[in-house]
Amino acid sequence: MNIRLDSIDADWAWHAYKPNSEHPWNKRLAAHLFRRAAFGGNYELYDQALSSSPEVIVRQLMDQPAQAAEQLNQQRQLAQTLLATGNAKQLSAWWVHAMLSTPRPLVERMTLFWHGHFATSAEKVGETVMYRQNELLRQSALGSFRQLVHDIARDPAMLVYLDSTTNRKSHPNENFARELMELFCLGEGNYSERDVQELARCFTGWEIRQDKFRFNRFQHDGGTKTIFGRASQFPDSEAIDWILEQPQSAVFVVNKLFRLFVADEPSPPHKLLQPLADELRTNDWKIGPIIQRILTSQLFYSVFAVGKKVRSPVDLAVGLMRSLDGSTNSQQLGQELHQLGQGLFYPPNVKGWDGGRAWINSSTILSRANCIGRMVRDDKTRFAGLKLAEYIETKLKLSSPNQWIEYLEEMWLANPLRPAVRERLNANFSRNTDTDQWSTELLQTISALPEAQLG
Amino acid sequence: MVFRRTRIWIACLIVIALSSQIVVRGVEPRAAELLPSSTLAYFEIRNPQRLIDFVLDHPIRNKIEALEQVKRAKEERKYLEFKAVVAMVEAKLGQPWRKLLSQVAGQSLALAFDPTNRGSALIVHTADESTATNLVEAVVGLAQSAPGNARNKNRIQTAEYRGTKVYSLDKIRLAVVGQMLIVTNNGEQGKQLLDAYFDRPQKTLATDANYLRAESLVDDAIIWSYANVATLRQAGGLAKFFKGPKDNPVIELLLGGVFGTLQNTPLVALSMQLENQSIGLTATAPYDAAWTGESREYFLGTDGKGSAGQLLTVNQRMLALSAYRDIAGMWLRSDDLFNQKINDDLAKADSNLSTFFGGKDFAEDILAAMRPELQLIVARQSFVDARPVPTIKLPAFGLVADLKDPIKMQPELRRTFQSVIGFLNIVGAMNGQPQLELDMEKSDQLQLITSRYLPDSQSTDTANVRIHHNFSPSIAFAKERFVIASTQELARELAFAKMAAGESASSPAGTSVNTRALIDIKAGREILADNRSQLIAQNMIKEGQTQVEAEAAISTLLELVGWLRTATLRLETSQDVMKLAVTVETSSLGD
Repeated sequence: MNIRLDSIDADWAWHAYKPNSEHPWNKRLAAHLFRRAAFGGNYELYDQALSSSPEVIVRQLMDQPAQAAEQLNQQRQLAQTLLATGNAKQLSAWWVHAMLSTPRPLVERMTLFWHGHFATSAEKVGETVMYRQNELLRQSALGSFRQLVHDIARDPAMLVYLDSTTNRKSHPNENFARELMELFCLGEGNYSERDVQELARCFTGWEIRQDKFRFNRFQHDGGTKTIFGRASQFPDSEAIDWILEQPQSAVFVVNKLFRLFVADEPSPPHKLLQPLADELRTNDWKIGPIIQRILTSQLFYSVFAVGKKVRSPVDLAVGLMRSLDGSTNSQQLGQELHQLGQGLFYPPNVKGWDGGRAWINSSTILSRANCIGRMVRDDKTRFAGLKLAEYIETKLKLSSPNQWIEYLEEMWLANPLRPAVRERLNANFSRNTDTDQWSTELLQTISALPEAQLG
Repeated sequence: MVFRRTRIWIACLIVIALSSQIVVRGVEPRAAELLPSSTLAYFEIRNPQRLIDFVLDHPIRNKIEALEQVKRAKEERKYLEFKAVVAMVEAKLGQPWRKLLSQVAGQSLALAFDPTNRGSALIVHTADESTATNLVEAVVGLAQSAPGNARNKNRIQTAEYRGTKVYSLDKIRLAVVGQMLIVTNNGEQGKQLLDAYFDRPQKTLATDANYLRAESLVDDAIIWSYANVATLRQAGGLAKFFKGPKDNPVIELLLGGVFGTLQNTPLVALSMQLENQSIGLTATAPYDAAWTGESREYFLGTDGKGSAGQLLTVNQRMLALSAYRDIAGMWLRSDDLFNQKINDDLAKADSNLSTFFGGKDFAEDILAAMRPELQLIVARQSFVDARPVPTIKLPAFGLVADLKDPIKMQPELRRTFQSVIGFLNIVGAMNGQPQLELDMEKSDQLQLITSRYLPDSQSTDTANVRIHHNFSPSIAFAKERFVIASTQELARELAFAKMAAGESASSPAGTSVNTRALIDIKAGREILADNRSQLIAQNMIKEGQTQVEAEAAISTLLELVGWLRTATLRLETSQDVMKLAVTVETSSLGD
């Protein structure tokens, strides 16, 4: 079905969703919310969700649960310990572990989002600096976008990645200035070359020494710059605030959030995004309230959003594991995510991951299914501490391939299976009495279907 | 009349046959007396009762059973099913399983492989005929009546061969004859074994010269094994193995002389020694120094008489490995020992190393300047000096050798060490790596040239101190002794290290100890404990465990390692025997 967003009324879209008989709150919608906001949830969460409301669940996702502080502290200690190995690949494994076990999945989801937005890679940047940036993104995940941009402008990982460790007034480095406007705040076509050159002068004297930010006043160009028609010395980081003052900036950020939570395509019209952009400015660039509004909106629970995103490798693998209370060899999964195009701490370039349809091609679709197959068969993979077959029998109380298909369809797939596909799966697996075999083979088979690629 | 005489003859024949049968079955044969001389590999437990008692009554068994993981494993379905089967067998035979096991294993248990018919046989000399028969019938009955095993009921067939009931399941044949329980995977072999039982042939494995030699080499070990290496070599399937590690200089360096012997020796005998607080495994083979030739003289010395020095001791020593290895000889003989690729690599290394040593020939001028008695020491680090304590704590290691001409070589080695440190600093600076600072200490007794990484004065990150702070590469000279070590402390200690009291491993006359090693598992455990948080972290991300689970797993690992005290290895040669012995000692487990 071709989706047209032009005709959607913005008031209707962002109005809070109130379940009714025509559009009831059910497990499919609860699963949709958890998939988008929390990488997925298990059957207990979905059952609990039915007796609650989207507003309450989203508020719970935004809040920090009581046990989170201790767990986050443990995660930090784990990261510090792994950093001592000097191997950045261990950081990928650590993040996979954190995503699988975090009590704040929405924060982790947004940390990953900002990692793609303010992309830097351990291919070029040292692991300790990368980890510090990751902590910054996590702390600011739901906070002020304005503050985050200010922090990123001084972030060693970003400046090393953009070859901006030295920026002298005699020869301003334009890399960060260009990416600040094109990739971080405004988008392509919303600035001129002259703006880039002038903005670059504002960041002269901003240096990285010993992996730390340093302002070298002797190399700073204190003269007057003209950016977007305003002439000023732009002291400190005032230029960043001026960039954010531009009308396009809020829409640019909201558009990215729309792609993250609602749909990959088509691009939404400005009039649809404008209410959220206005709210972002009104709330002094606080991201949390905008996410809350999106996740509780009528548009989010409509056909325009459900099943309208291509699952990233992280969504596919981590989502499945979280849906089934899974734990696994994070190091192996981290490597496989890398092979599938989403290496954590290793985005492909400064633009981050393209996302959407770019995740899928004839090669990756098979690799994605193989990744799932390998993972569920791995001896180290456990589901609530059990093997998959035991988990299905004792926790989910399922006893046949058909029941397993129905369960996965309801809990893991965003769109129902096509009847012909379901019949074929039933025919192929119904006579299989070996739970170990049908549980894993069905999961791998379904994960290769088009239905499983959407989330 | 004729009829009467015939009947008398028949009666006599029957009496003779029966009496001979009685005589034959009066003294049960040894397993080797049933097996053909073509047997390639033979394994025997001569006193199963001793082994059963050793395993089941060992203090470690109680410790293992007290582990939480083991307790949990005992609650799993598969274990409970196994227990149920054991209980059924016990009920059927009216005896507890341990007693049953003792009676069945009885006097000996042997495993053998005969390449002529590709048959593997298990021959158990039981305590008495009825126990074996009852056990077989009980197990077969259980297999046939077990729910879901309906198919097995028809698959288990019975037949008779020379008056003996033979069970068969696919290729498996099982029979009880006298006190002997025989299981084989080859029907033809089964018949041969039963024939041998009744006919007692003159020529068997027990009369084979190689077997007899092997038996004499293992003395009265209760567990022993023999392999006919000459037959294995002729079979050709393991040709690559017998040629030696042509592509691996490290394996060659460690075991080259052993491979040299395996290429010629007719047999290998293995024996296991069980003591209350130790388990030993010894491999013995007939040996002739001439077999290994000049190419491995570097390993065994002239006429096979190269001897390793006594093990040195240092504080918190984890490993001491002392060996006779003439590295220069190996380097110069590399064409005979390695393949083309390794030789090319060694040629490149030779060229580069010669540059470092100011144009001197690396093999003839540098390596040959050291005596072939080498020693490697690994020790836990104390980190008591001023260096930052690294988050990952690695052990220190050092190599000790004696210089043939210290006056000549000391300046050469000192200058080269300083060049290497300078080179590392240049390369490190290009890659943003920390720098090493050189220092020197000189007295009448000792020259110590040290280097150390400078602490990062800017760093405030005390939780993550980098791994390179484990190293302060140093060399030391003390009289003839030359030490190169990963840390300053170990270099200093090794310069004057002596043999540990009580470790005088004297050798019998005519025996040369080529290699000796000792692992102090307690120190190894301490090193693991030093890195406990790192082990837990690795466990969490590789095993997918929670912190609590990972902590429990690492605690168990440390506990298991703590049950062991030392492991020793000794490779020795005498005029006609090469012996490789490994012994593991357990800690005192009285508490």
